[in-house]
Amino acid sequence: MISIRQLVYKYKDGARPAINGVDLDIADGATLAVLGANGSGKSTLARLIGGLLPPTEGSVLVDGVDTMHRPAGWAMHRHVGMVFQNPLNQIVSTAVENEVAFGLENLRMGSFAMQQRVDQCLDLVGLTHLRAANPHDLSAGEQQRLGIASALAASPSHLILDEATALLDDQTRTELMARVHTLAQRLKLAVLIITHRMDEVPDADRVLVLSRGSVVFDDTPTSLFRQADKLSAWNLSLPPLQALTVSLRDAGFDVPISIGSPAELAGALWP
Amino acid sequence: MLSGLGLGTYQAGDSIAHRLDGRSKIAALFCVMVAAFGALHLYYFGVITAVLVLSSIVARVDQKAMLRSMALVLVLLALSCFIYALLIPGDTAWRLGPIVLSHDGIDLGVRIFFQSGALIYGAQILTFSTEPLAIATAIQRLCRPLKAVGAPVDELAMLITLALTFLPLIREQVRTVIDAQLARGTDLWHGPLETRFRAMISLYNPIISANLRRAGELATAMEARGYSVGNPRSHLREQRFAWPDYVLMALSLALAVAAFIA
Amino acid sequence: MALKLAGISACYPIDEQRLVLRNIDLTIPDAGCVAVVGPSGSGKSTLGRVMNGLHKPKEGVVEIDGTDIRTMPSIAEARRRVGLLMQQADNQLFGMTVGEDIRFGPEQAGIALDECEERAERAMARVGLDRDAFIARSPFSLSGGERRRVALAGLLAMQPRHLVLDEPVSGLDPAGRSTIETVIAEAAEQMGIVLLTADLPLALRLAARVVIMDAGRIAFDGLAGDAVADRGQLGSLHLLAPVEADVLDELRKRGAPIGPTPDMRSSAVLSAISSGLQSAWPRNGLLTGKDSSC
Repeated sequence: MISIRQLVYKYKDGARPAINGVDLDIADGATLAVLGANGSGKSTLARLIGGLLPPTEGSVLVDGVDTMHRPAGWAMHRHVGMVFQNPLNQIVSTAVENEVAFGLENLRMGSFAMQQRVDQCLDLVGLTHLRAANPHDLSAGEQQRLGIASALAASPSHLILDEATALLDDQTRTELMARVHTLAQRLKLAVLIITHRMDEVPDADRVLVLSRGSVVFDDTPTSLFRQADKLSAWNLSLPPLQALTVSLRDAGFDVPISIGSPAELAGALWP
Repeated sequence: MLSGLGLGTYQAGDSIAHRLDGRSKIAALFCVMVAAFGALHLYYFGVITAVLVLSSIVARVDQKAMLRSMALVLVLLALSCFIYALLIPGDTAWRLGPIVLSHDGIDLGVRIFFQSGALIYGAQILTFSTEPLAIATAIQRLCRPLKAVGAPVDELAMLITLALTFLPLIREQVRTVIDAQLARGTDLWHGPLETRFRAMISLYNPIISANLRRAGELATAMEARGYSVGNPRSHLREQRFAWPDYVLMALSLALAVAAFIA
Repeated sequence: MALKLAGISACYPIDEQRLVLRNIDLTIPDAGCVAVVGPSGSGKSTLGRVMNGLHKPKEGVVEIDGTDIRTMPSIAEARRRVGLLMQQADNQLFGMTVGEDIRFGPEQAGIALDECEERAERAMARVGLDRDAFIARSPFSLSGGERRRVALAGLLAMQPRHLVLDEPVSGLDPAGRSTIETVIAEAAEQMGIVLLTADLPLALRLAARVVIMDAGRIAFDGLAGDAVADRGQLGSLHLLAPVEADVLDELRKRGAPIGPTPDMRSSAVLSAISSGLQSAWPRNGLLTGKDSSC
């Protein structure tokens, strides 16, 4: 459970606040997509929730604990796991299993318990066969899977993906996100997907759009697609199917806005 | 040539040498160095060499690859030692025209060659059979007593480990930037010297800035997984001394001590 | 004034037996955009490097305007005529300032300094970078999209006849992508662009001619519309057909009178659907006014 109250964040050299008054509640097990153009504050928000930045004003509560007043022995990564954009800038070791163990080593977990947990995490993402490999020798998709396994090692109940698919090709991205959604259901994780890609939105329960540090939209993906006119103001673009649907509607064809597949669109055009 | 000096040449394997604790291997290398510097008589270098060759066989090192990467270094070393030996005065042992080699010269030249050679050879075997992470951990544990006097041992160990993971990335970056310059028509063989020189110098900027950025992102990623400087950490695979390690230690000590007596 | 590859086979020193490119025959005219599409590992990047002279092929001839590049006085000459934007180009800038970086190519070609400066300014205008705001800034203080544009400007300043772009929009946000796509579309009017990408929809947005590569060989070379015809082949190459193609397929399956669509850009698809369905409009009664409820 994450509660954000009146959150404001200003960077030292920032002219205006990067986060300008956000109130948000994220329930356990929810999947939330956070959309926004570069400079909208979405990565800053991710770091604030992960406890990596101190709020200038307001507070972030993770599982009831204020990120700025953590009791001794309360480890952030036991509650929030994070995966970042560039897999190469997250690798700290020369072997896959050591990579997963990193977060547990920071908790001073015993060697035997650690090995069991590492086995579990590798199994969750399907990398058991690569446990002795050098992370640098893995493909980008495998490296991000490793990032997920490493983030889940300390058994957090929240997972934040900060543009984790931005550097992946389309097919790898689709596979990775499918895996994330499966894991989220299985482990009852709350997942925060920070992205600028509209096609990652339909699988989320809820979408937030950030613009210049404020939340300008907070609702379901379907209602987001209805706001086609506002999207360009927010510097976002519709996925191709929805874009085609909107163009057809503009051309005078009466097709419903919430088209989910090409077959559905064809059926609406030629019943 | 970098690999000839034993950097980054770890090969996963299951030999006895691979299974030894990193600490005993480093300590063994140290004993070999003590033996090499303390050897009373030249013949003892033969003993040391035999020990090293035996170790490389035990570690199942690819002998041909090892020789190939060390060859250049050893030849240069031999040449330097020869020249150095020529400068030492004493009773003539060998002459060719104006070039005179004294007994003392031969003695010193051979010593230096074997001392440096032993270090290079030993380091090769060490890095071949020990993961970089294990080496860093071993150094950290061996230096633990220094923490009492305030040395940042754990942080240095983490630094070494991270530097090791950065090395291949930096290599890749240099190649990429050079390619980018070539793709824009850099002609390494023609053109004014100044332009070529500037093209070379301009490699620093992108490498430094890219790695500064990488370092920042990496620090964030590490913090997000609970790392904080100075915090004590456990290890996934606790290296523990087993009887082969004690055997290695005994043999190494014997080698070192015998150098002073035999 | 074409770029011609004949019988090109290429490999890498690490494994001389493994051919990354097999017997490639390809001619690129000096105007328009040709997309070379294929999954990663199909040899696209190597093809780009062969075209630019950065990689020497094992067999075959590369001809620029009829001249074999091996007979050119220096290989740098080939690279000036065929520019190459490599993947993740934002990591390949090395000038102290944006201006210096863009001038690098022309300077290396021996062009006079004032002409180099002029070219740099023109190139910046083409990629939409305001001269005064950017010319003196360090490339490393810019965003990813801005750096990508600087890299592109650096190549445009060399005034090549051909430009090879290896995944030019990967990793960019929608705004960045659309800027680069616009620059590419405009540049295609003046030079021969080769777009290397695994993103078939991107290729179809920008190119009328598509070449599909599969494990080092050319599996298809023709019009965009025909490229999406064989879904099975696309699937086996891990290429996703654009959603527009799926919609057209579904419509045709249901018997809608949609004409052939050689051009798969969204505007062309939209007009194909509109005109096809409009002809049946009186029968369907589907078309309604814009202000109907949804």
